[in-house]
Amino acid sequence: MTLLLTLACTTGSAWTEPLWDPGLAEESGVLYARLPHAEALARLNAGGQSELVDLDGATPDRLVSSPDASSLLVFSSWLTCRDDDPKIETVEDCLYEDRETERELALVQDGQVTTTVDIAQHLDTLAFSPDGRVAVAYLGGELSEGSAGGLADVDSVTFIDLQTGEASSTPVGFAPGNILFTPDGASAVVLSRSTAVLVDMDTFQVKVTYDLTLDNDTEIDPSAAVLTPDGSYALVAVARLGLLYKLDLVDPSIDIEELAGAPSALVVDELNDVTVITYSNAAQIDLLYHSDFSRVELDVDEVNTGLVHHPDGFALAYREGGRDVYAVDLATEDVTEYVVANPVDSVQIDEAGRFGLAIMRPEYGNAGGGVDAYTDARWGMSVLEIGDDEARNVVFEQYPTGIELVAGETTTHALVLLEGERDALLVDLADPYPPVEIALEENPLAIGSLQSGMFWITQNSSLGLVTVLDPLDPDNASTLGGFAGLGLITDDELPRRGGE
Amino acid sequence: MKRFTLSLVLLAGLAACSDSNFVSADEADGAYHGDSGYGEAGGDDDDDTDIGSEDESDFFSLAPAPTPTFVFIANPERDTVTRVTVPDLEVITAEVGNHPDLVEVTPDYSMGVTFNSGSDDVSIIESMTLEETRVDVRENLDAMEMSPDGGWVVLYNSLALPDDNTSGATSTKEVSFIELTTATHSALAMGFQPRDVLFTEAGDKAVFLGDAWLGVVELDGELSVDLVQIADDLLDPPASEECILSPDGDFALLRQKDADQLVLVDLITLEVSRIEVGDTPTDLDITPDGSEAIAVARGSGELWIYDFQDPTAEPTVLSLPAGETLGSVVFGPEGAPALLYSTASGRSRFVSWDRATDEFTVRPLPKPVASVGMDPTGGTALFLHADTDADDMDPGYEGHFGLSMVDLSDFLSNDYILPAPPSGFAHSDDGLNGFLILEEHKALQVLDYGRLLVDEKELRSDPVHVGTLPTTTWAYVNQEHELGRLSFYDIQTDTLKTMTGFELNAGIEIEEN
Repeated sequence: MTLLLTLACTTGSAWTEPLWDPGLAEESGVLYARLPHAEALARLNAGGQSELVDLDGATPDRLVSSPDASSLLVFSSWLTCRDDDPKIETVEDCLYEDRETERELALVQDGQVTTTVDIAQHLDTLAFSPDGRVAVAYLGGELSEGSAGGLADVDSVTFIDLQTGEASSTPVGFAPGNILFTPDGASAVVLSRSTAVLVDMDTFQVKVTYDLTLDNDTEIDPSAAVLTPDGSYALVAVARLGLLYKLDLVDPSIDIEELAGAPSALVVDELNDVTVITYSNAAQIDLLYHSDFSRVELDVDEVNTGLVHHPDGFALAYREGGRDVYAVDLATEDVTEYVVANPVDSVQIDEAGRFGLAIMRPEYGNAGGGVDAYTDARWGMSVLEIGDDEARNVVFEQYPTGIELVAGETTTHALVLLEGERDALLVDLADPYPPVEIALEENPLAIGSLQSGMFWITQNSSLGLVTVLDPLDPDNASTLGGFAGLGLITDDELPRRGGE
Repeated sequence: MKRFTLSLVLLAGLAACSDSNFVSADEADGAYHGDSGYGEAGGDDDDDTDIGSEDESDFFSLAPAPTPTFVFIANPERDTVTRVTVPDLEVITAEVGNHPDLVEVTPDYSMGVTFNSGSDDVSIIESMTLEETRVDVRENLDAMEMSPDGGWVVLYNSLALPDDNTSGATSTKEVSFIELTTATHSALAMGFQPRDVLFTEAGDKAVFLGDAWLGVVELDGELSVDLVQIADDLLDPPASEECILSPDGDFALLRQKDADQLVLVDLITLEVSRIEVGDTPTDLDITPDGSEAIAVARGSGELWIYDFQDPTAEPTVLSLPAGETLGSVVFGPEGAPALLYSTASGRSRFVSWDRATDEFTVRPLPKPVASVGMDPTGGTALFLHADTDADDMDPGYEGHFGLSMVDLSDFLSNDYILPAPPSGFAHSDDGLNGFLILEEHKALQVLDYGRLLVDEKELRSDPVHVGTLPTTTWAYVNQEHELGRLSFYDIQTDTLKTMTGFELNAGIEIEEN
């Protein structure tokens, strides 16, 4: 499920919280929506009545689907009152200074909470093991005042067995920020400031600790990391340093490769058993072959800050704000250069590997008129046909609020939402003009994909509106609305009063 | 015999000698000095009085032969020792005492020993497991030697104490003995500050060399020292410059500065006698088969050859080529010619000695000699030339160090001007190649003895030590890097593999679950 952009839905509402959050999440083919005002979670049953999920009084703060969407994890919270006077029944009854917020992580399956897990309040990000059995909670964002509930353990992550609900907090080093799982799922590599640990995924205990520096005054800040396809090595790039740490996970040892500069991105290609490295301060793309860790340097014209990979054995490298996109054939080491019309904002590749899509942003400050001025002032996308060196540029008349790629049997489409446009546009990347207009009931707010290959589009409606469709068969779309009315009338009762 | 403080310092002139495979990775200071005492330029070769002592460098000595399966490298600045496994090049680092300066390995390669000068102790390291046993020794020691059988190490103080020594009551006349199998320490007051220590081949005796005294210690049971007076003047004795032991351990033969006799000590009876030698003996060596002791009498231009079975028997005296100032000799294996040269004469030449015919031939060099060595097979001689200039040097060598390779079968030679001072050298076991590193020069010089050519392989940082891995075609170069950097060069495939950061391996913690 990808979400490019959401808009708040507060159309003239008298309530302080919006009625619903347009950013949906999937669980086993069913969509869920947060209802902030009702402090509830709605399950959107296609073809049937939507219903609220019983979170035992907790408010859903954030929704995260497991990678296969078989589970929905809900970061939730609820107010408690330290004063256990039985006369205190509502939030208003409780003095402000006695109010506390409790948090938990709820696992939802088939509309039911199957288990809840106590985790530290400040842990806001989840990583999932390849088999979906384990989730790892860590601090991925910023730690703000009061977000930790008094004490913040910034040296630990929490491993959660999604089947049993058991959670285990494991010290892994200061400020853990990157978690990788070996392909067999037996171990996880957790990268922290100046430290990497290998964790046993059965016991959640640290098996090996790698110190990345001898001098505690020297800080090694892992900026990116990948595992080799066989899981025997972790390759760790370091912020601000042209170093790549190679951690042997089988026979623990460390080797350091010196690079042309601090890497901006790393991706692993399993097909050719190689890691691709780009740099933001060196105009080259490196291929690091895992068989002997020899490195091939491919010269390009521009530095690159981003890298997108396709499993068929190629990658697209680009620089945000640049005009060059480089396609690297990882089998032949050939580089194809595309030049796009406007500065690149982001790049993606369709699932079939037929096209790369560079989203372009406006470029201001150019004098002149005509087509150039028109193009420069607008967002757009550049269609890059893989295997060719031509870039076909498409200009958006409005700001794109969402773009999803739809790979069909013979061609690939882009499903585009534009700000202020009620219709979604289905663009055949092989032949962009004219696009097919898909009528929606209201202006779109957000777009995402389902495991089934269908897409959902939320639209601007105060009581909630979502359309689920196959872009290639839009006539069979289904629309669901009004779910934000669930729990519209709420009371202020303190949940879980008198015990859990 | 003076000793260069090189990163690979060991025996001189003996082929296939494997004494130690622990080397100090950071001991680059003083690796090679250009002040080899050439003396006045254009001096008369017959006048020996003003040119100073010969500088018998062991720069080209065989590198400490690493173990058949391991190479050990001590890292004094990081208090660690690194073990590289051959041939898979696995690198593991272990912590030892403070500032491991000196390293030795037992002949059976089962143990390595480091002297940790910062903590006044010795680490005995089991080669396979890297398990360490630490043994305290006496304070302020700075030299360590291992007996040939690997049973003992002895440590002593060979240098003057620093002026700011604040260690309390301090002596320079103490020696520490460690029996390695039991890791037991014994200390003795030697009675004098030793210049050197030698061991009998059987390893049953240690002989400490002083100026007025020789100290003989039986390495068995409770240790004690037998003092032997070797100078008449105890207040101002002549400096003992060199000592050799007979292979059977029965005799010690000493050369003293400015003396016109050699001192012979019977190590059984401890009796001292003196034997005749030519004018100004400047070098004393043993032939490869151990049957003869050779003294080079630079002043009289003679070689004095003694039967080491009976040193008091009439020696054979050979006259060296007239007009040549020759002060040192180096031997190759049996059958190879010996080479005579002088590091003090300032003349750009050497003399080959055909041992079968006793024929001497004077041969040219591009610059005067600073150091000489031979490959293990005796097929190629290597001459190092200092940056000091000489009147008879070849053009282009002004102010430069140099290297000459000489094929000893036909004396075909090739000469190189070096861009920096040499700092380390190693031979390959098969005698086909040599490996040279230069100070602050990021490259490995690969010497092809067959073709007498040198190729350069670029390194990522300044090299501090070079060695070879036996039974393989690999050479290794330890380089400057705060986290450790080792490069391995394969002669066969011409590939260079570099490992960086191996010092971090000492900090890897593996939980016992």
